[in-house]
Amino acid sequence: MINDYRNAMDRIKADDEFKEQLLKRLAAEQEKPKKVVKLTPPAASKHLPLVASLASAAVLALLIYSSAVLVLPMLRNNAYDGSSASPEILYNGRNYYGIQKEPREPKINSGTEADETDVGTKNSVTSNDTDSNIQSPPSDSADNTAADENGAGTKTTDDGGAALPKEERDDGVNYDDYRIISYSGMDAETKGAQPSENTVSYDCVLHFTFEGFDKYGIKLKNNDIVFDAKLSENYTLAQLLTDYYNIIIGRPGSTSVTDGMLDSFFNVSSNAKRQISVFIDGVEVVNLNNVLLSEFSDLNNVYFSVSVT
Amino acid sequence: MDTDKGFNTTEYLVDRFLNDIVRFCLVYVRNMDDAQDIAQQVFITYLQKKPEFVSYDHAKNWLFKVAVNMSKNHMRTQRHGEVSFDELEGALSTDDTVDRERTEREDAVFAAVMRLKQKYREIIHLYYYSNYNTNELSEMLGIPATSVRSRLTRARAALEKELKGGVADDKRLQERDGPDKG
Repeated sequence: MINDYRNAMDRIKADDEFKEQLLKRLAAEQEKPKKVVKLTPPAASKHLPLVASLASAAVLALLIYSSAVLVLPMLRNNAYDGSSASPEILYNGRNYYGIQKEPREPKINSGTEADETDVGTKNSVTSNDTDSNIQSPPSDSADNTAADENGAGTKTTDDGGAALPKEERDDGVNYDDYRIISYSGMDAETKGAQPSENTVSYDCVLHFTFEGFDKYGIKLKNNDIVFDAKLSENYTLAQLLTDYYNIIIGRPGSTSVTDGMLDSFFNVSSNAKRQISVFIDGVEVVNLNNVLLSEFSDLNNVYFSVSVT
Repeated sequence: MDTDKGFNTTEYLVDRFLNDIVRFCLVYVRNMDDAQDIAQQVFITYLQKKPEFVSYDHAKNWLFKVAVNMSKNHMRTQRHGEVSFDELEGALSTDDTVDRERTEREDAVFAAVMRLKQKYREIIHLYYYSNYNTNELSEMLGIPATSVRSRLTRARAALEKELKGGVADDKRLQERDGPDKG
C-alpha cells in the first residue's frame, strides 16, 4: 500500500511549462536589485540639530543677560542708584550713597573760623551744626603742633574692632542677628591748646569700621565701650548721630570714657561747639539723612571728624 | 541522498525539490493549480531570504517547512470550493507501458489518502513519502512527537478504513468531509 502511494506520487509532476516559467521568474527575481532598506532616524533624532541650536541660543542669551545684570554694575564706578544689586558690589569704596558723586580731596583745616565758614559755605552747612553736615576732613593742621607740645593730644589707635567672643556676650542679646560696627580706632589731633576753657579748637577723627550691620541691629564697639541697639532697616547715619550722640561724641561735661568716646578722651567742655563731618571711605557725606546704615558693608570705613571749638 | 554542494543554487533546488514541493502542496490543498502557485512562492521566498544551507537535509527541511506554512496560510485565507477528485486523479500521469492493474491500485490509494482529513493527509505524505521521522515532523509541524505518532496511527486507521470501504462516490465523500478544515 505504501509503495502504491509512493508510485502514485511519483507520477505527479509539475508541468514543464510551469517549471519553465518558474525558472524564468526566479531568474528575474535574482536580477532584481535588492531592496535597500533606508533607515530613517526616529522623529526625535530628526529634530536633534534644531533642539541643539535652540539650547545653544538659550545658553547664549543667559550668558548675555548675566553679563548685563551682574557684571556691568561691577564695572560702573558711580553705579549706585538704589537699584537691586548686592551691597558687596555697590559698596566697593566708591560713591555708594549717591549723593556726592566725586570724591573730594581732604582739605587742610586751618583751624580758623574763616576757613570753617568757607568750607561750610561751600557745603551749604553752618559751622555750628553739631549733628549734621560737617565739612572738615581729617586734619593735618599745622596748629596741631601746639597741642602736641602741651601733650594734650595723643594720637592713639585702638584695636577694638573685633567682636566680643560669644562667651563674653550677654545671653539676652542675640548677637548673631547683628552685624557689627566696630570702632576700630581713634585718630585725634588737637588743634591748638588743650580745650579746657572752650577757647581752643581741635579736630579729631573717630575711626569706625563697620564690621557689619543688618536690619536687626547695629553694634559699635571699642575697647571700653560697647553699645548695641536694634535699629530699623531705614536707620540713617543722621539718626545714628542723633540717637547715639552722647555715646559717640559724649555728653556735655562728661569726663568718663564710658560716657563718650570723644569728649571724655579730650575732656571737652560741655559748652564746646562740635561740628561733625562724616567720611565714608574717604568721601565726605553731605547729607547724612541719605545714608542708610543698612547699606554699609564690612568694607566701609567711617570717619567721624569732630571739630570742637 | 544527494551530497553534492549544489544545494545553495536555485537551479539545483528547483530541479531537485520542485516536484516534491508540488506533491506535498497538492496533498495539502488538493488542487494542482494552487499547489503549483504555492510551490512557486516557496522558491521565491528562498530567493528573497537566501539562506545558507549547510547540507542537503538542511535545504530540504527548510523548503518543506516553508511549504507547510504557506499551505497552511493558503487554507486559512482562500475560499475552497468543492474538491474534484477527477481532477486530482488527472494530476497523475499515466504511462501506457505500466501495468494497468497496478496503476488502478495506485490511483485507489492516492484517492483514499486524498479523502482523508487534512492533518492525516499531511502526516501520511510527510512520513511515508518524504521519509521524515516523527521527531523531524514534530519540529516541522510544531507539535509534540507523541502527537505526531498518535496522529499517524489514526491516519493509518483512517486510510485503511477508506481503502476497505472501496471507492465511494465523490458526492458522498464531499458531504462527509465538507470544506476541508484539517
